[in-house]
Formats: sequence, C-alpha cells, structure tokens
Amino acid sequence: MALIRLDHVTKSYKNRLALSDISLSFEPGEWVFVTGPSGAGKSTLLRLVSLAERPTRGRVEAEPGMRRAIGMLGQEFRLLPDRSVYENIALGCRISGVWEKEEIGQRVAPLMEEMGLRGMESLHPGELSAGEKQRVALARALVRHPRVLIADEPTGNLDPTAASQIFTLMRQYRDRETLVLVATHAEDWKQRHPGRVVRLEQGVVKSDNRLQEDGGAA
Amino acid sequence: MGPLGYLFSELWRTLSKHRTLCFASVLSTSSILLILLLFMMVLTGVDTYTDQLESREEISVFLNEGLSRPDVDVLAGRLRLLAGVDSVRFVSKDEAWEQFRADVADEALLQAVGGNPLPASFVIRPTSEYRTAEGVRSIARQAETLPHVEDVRYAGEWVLRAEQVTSTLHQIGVVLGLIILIGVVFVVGTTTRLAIQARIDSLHVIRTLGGGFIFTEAPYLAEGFVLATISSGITILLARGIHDSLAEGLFHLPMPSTQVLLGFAGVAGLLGLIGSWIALATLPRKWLL
Repeated sequence: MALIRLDHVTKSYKNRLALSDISLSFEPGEWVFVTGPSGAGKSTLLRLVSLAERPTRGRVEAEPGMRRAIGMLGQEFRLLPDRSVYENIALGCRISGVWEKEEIGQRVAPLMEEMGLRGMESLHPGELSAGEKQRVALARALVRHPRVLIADEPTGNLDPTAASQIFTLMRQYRDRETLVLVATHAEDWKQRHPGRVVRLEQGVVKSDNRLQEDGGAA
Repeated sequence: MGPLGYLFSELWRTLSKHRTLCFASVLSTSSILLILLLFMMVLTGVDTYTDQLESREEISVFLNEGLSRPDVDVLAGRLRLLAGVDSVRFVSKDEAWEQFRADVADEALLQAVGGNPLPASFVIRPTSEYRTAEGVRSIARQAETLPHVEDVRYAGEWVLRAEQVTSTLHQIGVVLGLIILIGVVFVVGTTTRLAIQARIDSLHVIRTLGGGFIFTEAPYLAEGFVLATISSGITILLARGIHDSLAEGLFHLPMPSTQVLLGFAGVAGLLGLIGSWIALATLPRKWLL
C-alpha cells in the first residue's frame, strides 16, 4: 500500500504554475530521487509530499498523523545557533511529542553514535564544520523515527566527502522501511545510490524510472 | 522536562540572552506603573479623607437645656417633617459626653472640663437630593426656626467641594489608568517584537520542523507576562519605599491593601500577556517565510 499518494495534483502560486496534474505514489522503504532543472517544481513537490502545503487542485493522500512522521533535511542546515548539538537533536523529539528525558536520551545517543557525532554533544553549531552541521540536521530529522525522510538538495553546501557520508547515512534509513525522497541537481548520486528517479520539467513528470544497482533501467 | 519545563527553560534563555532589552523593558514598564500606583495611593488617601468628611454632611441641631422627653419627641417629629430630611437621630447629653470622652481620651483634660457641659442634640441626615451646599443650608434654616432649638451647625460648602474634587480625581484616575494600560501593552509588545526579531531565524526553523504553539508563541507570551509581573513587583517595592519615607512627615500616602496590590500585579501581568499577543498577532508574515 502507498505511504503517500498524489492524485492529479496541481499547485500554483498567484499567477505561476509550479506543478501541473501530477499523479505519483510512494511506498515504504523506497529510495526516490526527484530531479530536474531549477524551477521544474522539485521543491514544490517535496512541500506537498511533506504535507506542509495543500495542492491548488487534486489530492494528496496520507495516513492520519503522517505529518508528525515526516523528517525534513534541507540545503541550509537550519540549526538553532544558541543550542548545543544535543539540544538541537532533542528538539526534534520534543516537537514530535516525546518529552521524557530518558526516552530522548535513548533516541539521541545512538543517533549521535551512528552519525559520528559522539563527543560533540555540548558543542554549538558555530563550532562545527558544514558536514558535521548537516549530520546534526539529519540526526534531528531521524530522531523523530520518521516514516518519510525528505531531503531537498541535502549536499548542496557540502564537500564531496561530507556529501558522500550524508548519502550513505540516508541510504541506511531506506533499508529500515523509511521512504526517502531526495531532490538534487547532482546526477552522479543517482548512479552511486540507484533507486527510483522522478524527473520533473516545467511542473510535469517527464519520466519515472527505476535504476538497478548495475546502472540499468528497470 | 515536560512542556512546562521547556517553556521555563526557553523563558530563562530569552531573559538571560536579551538582558539589556529585558532590563530596559522592566525599567520603562515599572516607571509607567509607578505613576499609576502612586496615583492610586493618592486616591486611596483622598477617599479615606472624604469618607471621614461624609459624616459632616450631617446637620447637628443642639437643644436647649432641661427639655422634657415629650418636648424632645415632638421636636423629633417636626424635624422629620422638614423637606429634605432622611433620618433624625437623638443624641442625649450623656451620649454626647461619652463620645467626647472617647474622642479626647485625655483624662487630665476631661477632669479640667469638670461636669458634662454638652447639650443634647439631633443629628439630621439629608436625603441624597439635599446633600448639596444649598440643600444642607435650607434644612438648617428650617430647623433654626423650630422651638427649643439652641443652635444649628453644619459643615458647609467646602465638604461638598471636597467630594466634587474626589469625584474628579476618580475620573482622572480612570483616564490615567487607560493611558497607562496602553503604555504597558505598547512597551511589552515592543520588547516582544524585538525579542522575536532577534530570534526570527530560530523561530522559522522551529516552525519548519513542525513546532506548534508551545514552541513558537508560548515562550513569547510567557516572556511578556513575566516581564510585566516583575515590573509590577518592582513598582510595589518602590511605592512601599515612597510610602515609608513619607510616613514620618505631614503628608501621608496610604499603601493599598494586599488584595489590591495582588490585583495590580495580576492586571500588569495580563497587560504584558496582551502586549505580547498583539506583537505575535501582528507579526509580518514575511518574517516567518
């Protein structure tokens, strides 16, 4: 069964048409690249899938309470500068309704380990490198145990090594039945982490293919 | 740490991070509130004084010595029939003396006076329509013409003038209160707006993460409430200081009761809350996009 389904969705802002008559559905554990040139509607599609916006026409179907089960990751790290790394990640827990200190600790500690952030708990974002900041942002998105992880150009501000780390970490979550949607310009990631590729051009779906591990189309 | 704990930690974070801004806000709000509280104290003093004066709206009709009981009863009946008389109360020689003893409370002076020189009297209370300078005077003139009346005394026009002054002061108090209400809302609202402006990026991030009321609006509302309540506390302390420094002097400024002061602090807190709420409600949308 589809986790999120877009049914003949159109989205326009004032006089600008961002998406036109899009129908897509996404399954749990899918790894999906959303590609296309600037202005193709990638970010709009992600905002609709994240249930942050409503379509102008058509329907976006998701289970009740899905909004809280969506983790977001952007090009800008969007960390709170006046809070420590631990507090930034814990904020994700609190926003999703987890207030117990012990439970927060049980969620945050393994993620910090997994993201290679161990020992940085008390540091503030200003003391971190770009790659570390993005790993904190990813941990904050994942600490909510999301069923959907949406990443909009997550490696745009990172060097190749840091970018590779982020993709590897996100890939692990796809293997845990989390739907991962990644909007990116960079073509090489599609080859290195093959999966479904939805290509948008001028607000319409130009292609929707699955790339196999060997690089061939399914 | 539950939502309430989070709210307190956020509040502490804001207050400690924006110390100068919060200090300026508390200082401005305290200054404004002090004007109101001092005015309230002046008004309380004037009210107390006027209450004492109120009894002086009464007209005292002093009687000739040695009047028989039937004569007193007849005179009481005639006084009750005068235009503008609400009630008539007889004060015997003995009652007058007892009251005098209680008022003077100086045994040596009382012994010097010797026996009871005070006459019996009637105390007339005018109806509300006759509690004017002219009304009181007309009742007194009528009473003077009655038999067995030795003398008639009444406070005079200045008592009534004092009441008019009190009434005017109350009206000024209402206007001043309204102006100060707007002032507090404005100062706290501006502080909240500046605090939001200083943390707009954080607010935007929290909104993006799906943070609801407890993460976005509530900390700022709590800040407005706390700043205004702290200001009211400082105001009360300052007012207490002014009260104590004047206590030894001629001009006494009474301190309002604890209930009134608690109400004052509560209203100030509420105004702070309203100020912050207005600041949040009128936040330009572009700040959050």
